[in-house]
Amino acid sequence: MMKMQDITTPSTPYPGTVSPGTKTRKKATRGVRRAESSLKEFGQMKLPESIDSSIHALSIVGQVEGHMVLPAQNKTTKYEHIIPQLVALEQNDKIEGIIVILNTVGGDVEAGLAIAEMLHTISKPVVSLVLGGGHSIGVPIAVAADYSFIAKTATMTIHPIRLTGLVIGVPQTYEYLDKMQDRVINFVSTHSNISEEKFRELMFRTGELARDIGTLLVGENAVNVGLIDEVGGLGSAINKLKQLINERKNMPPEGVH
Amino acid sequence: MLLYTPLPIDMIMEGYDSEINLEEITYKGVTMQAQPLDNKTYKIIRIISSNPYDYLRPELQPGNIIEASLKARET
Repeated sequence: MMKMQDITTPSTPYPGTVSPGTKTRKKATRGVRRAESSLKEFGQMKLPESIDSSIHALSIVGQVEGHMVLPAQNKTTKYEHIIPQLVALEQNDKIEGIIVILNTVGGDVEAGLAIAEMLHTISKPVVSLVLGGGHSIGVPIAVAADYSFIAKTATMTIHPIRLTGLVIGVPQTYEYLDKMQDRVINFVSTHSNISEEKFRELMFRTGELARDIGTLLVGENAVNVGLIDEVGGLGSAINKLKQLINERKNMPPEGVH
Repeated sequence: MLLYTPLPIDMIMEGYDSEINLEEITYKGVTMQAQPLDNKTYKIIRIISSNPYDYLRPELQPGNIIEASLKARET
C-alpha cells in the first residue's frame, strides 16, 4: 500500500484531487485519502462493503481480453473473470439488476460474444450505458442488454473485422473472417432495432473514417440508426433499470424476459 | 484469437515479448495467479476457482495488491 504522506506531497500527479475543504474535516479526509490511494494504484474505486446494493455494476473497459493475455500496458477486461461473475449474479437473490458500463476499444471476438450472450440470457434485468467509447466488439455487448443507453458524447465505431494484422493463430482466410463478421452482424441485428442490411452498410461505408472503411456513431446517431435505445446518462440508466426490476417483480415467477 | 478493435496491432502488442514472472499462490483459500512485486507483496492477475462468488469478492479482484505474509499464514 502507498504511504499516507505520499498522497498529499506536491509531487502527486493529481494535486487537485484533494480539495481544500476536506482538509478541515479530519475524519472525512481519512476516508477520502484511503479511497484516493486505491484509485491511484488500481485505477478503480473500491466501494464500501456496507452498501448492500441490489444493483451490480459491471464495467467493460479497455480491451476485452480473450484466449491470449495482452501485454501489460493494455487495460483489459478479462472474460474469464466476467463470466463467473455473471453466474454468481444470476444465482444471487440479493442482486435484482445489472448495469453494464462500457468504455471499451473492442477486443477478442469470441470473448466479446461470450459476454454478450451471457448478458442477454441472464434472467435479471440488464441495462447498458456506453460512455466514452463502445467500439467494435463493444457494440454486441451494448446491445445485449434489455435496454441500452449512450451518453451524448460517446462514440461507437462500426468497422469490418480486419483481414490483416489482428489475427493470431486462426486461419487468415476470407471465409473465416467473413464468418466471424457474420456472427457479430447477426448478434447485433437480432438484439437491436438495426437491420442486418443497415448494419452491414455502416460497417463498409467509405468516406466517413479518414483512413478506413466503417462508421463512427456519436451519441444520438447510434439511437437514430436503431442500434441503441436511448441517449442518456447514469441517472436515466439507473431509473430504467429500477423500472425493469419492478416490472419483473410484478410478472409471474416463471416468466422469462 | 481474433481481435476486433480499431486500435493498430503494434499498439496492442507492444511489449508482448517482455516476460512477466507469475506464481500460483493460495490466498484466503482461493488459488490464484499472481505477480510477485517484492518479497512481501503480490499483484493478483487472475483467480482460479469454481465458486462463482469468489469472482465477486472485492479483495480478490485482478489488480489488487496482497501481502505475501497473509498468503503464508492461510495456505
